[in-house]
Amino acid sequence: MKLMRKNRPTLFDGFGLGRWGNFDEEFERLLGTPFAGMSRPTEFFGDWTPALDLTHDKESFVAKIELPGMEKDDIEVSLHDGVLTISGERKAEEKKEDEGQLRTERVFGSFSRSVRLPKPVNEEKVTASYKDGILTVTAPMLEEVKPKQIDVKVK
Amino acid sequence: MSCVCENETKAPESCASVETERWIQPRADVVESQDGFVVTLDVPGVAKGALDVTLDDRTLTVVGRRESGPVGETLHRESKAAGFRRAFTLGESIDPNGISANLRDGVATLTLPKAVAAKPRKISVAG
Repeated sequence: MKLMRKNRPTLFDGFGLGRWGNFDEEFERLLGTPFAGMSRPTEFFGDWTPALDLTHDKESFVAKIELPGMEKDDIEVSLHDGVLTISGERKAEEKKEDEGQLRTERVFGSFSRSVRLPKPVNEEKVTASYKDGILTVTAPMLEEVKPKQIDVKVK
Repeated sequence: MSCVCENETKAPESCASVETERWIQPRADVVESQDGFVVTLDVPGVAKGALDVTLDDRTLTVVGRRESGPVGETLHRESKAAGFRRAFTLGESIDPNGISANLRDGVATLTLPKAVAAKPRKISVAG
């Protein structure tokens, strides 16, 4: 795990926005997140670690990741060998000359999250949308691996 | 001199219970310029209409509600099932009538202009 500096509010940060990692949060994520059923732990790299949720219904896997204040062009989604990777860079806003930074808590910089999808998906039909700071990736399962209802006949 | 003070002293993104709802404190950046303060908060998942900014006396409260959880079976969950809430105490130099708020892509921006009397002013020297 990359070493993160402890996040603390600054009254006047002369160094600009900087990259403040939140150590407590990262630790909590490593130890506290449930690893349910089939999915393997996710891998993460980069300056910050946006929260990732993975769910599924009968048709598809849905990955949601919290990416506030990003431009769509700065987000990359790729699928390779059943591993979905979402990466990109959140660029810091330009500081104007006469502005003083009183408090810096938000995180910026590069990020990359990868998650192995438990079942094969139809790569051509993977879609992604970005709304209200949430990126949603929908990956439909291949027909043959969709859960099927089996009729139980009682004799 | 900071004129935007926290009401809660907890670290950002810690959960606090207010009545029966759970809240997270969103991360916030505060920038000061000659004209005023700009507070920028990360509130991913909060849609327009779900962000409330209220001013009561000199307390500015920002509340952002969002969908409580993912739909379908959960395989892996990192986001917290809670909305965002954070309160600030405004100093005397802020003009409460000029406060404006904007929400875009999960980022809320509050603009708090300084009252005219509080702005630095150049005083011309006669003679």
